[in-house]
Amino acid sequence: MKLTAALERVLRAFLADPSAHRYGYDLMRAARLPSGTLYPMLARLEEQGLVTSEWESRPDRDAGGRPPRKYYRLTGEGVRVARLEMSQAAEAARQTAPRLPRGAARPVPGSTR
Amino acid sequence: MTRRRLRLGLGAAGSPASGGGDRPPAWRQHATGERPGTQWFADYLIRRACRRLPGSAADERYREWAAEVHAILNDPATRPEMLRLARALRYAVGITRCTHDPQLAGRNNSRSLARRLITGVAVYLCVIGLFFGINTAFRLQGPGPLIVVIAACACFDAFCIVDVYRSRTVRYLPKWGWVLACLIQSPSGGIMYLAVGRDRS
Repeated sequence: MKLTAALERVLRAFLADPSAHRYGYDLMRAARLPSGTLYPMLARLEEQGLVTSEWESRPDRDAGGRPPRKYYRLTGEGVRVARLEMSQAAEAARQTAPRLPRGAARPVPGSTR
Repeated sequence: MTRRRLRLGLGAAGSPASGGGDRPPAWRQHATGERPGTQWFADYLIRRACRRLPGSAADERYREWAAEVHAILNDPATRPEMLRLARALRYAVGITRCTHDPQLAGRNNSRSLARRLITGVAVYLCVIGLFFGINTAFRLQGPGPLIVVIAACACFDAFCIVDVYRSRTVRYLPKWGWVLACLIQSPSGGIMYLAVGRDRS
């Protein structure tokens, strides 16, 4: 699995509460992704067995006649893989981060100083 | 948590009440009933997008996305109402893009080279035919029509060259090759680039 920035946001949204069932629009808001990016990603994750989906059997009474929604949730394997990927990404970011003191100005390319 | 789990009914493969009987799949049914314009339009976009999906997937996806649009439009937490409408439309427009994805479509959506070439030639012939048709019908005389055509070709070439420059990859020729084709063979170079050379993935 190649961890792109968009996928990282989706996994982060799932990992905020791994046991929670999230619907598509909820994930869009949490991950700040458009629907055109989110759904193909969810389909890939579902095919890889990292995410499972379930239909809501009966919407809430206050749903105002809304049709049933489809909910997504990380599988056990999905939680494991997501945490692993997150930790690897964090480790990679730590290694590549510039070791500058806080508040120090970044060198401007081409400048003589 | 437990309450939510209880409310969730069928498993991953199933879908709730699929309409049953001899009724056509939901995504094929025409929009009927008293629905606000935005919901109707968002629903229309989603229905159109679902036509690209294989049968069973189309029905399930339509139900999923239509339910989301309904929920977005009736979300009391989002104010003012214009924001809800904008979000619902943005959601539906995003859906029209995502059904091009091979993962959702369940097949490789990229067209064959022959089909792309035929499309390119057809578009080119249509453009030429339209020009001569208008010229004959209105008996246009003088340099006016020619200036309009040249200006339109220049705009089209500029669009194609900008598209070549901005796209990460192009097909069959290097980028400079497509730019050259657009400049030399106007407008057929641009049309062939859009039909054949543009990398849609």
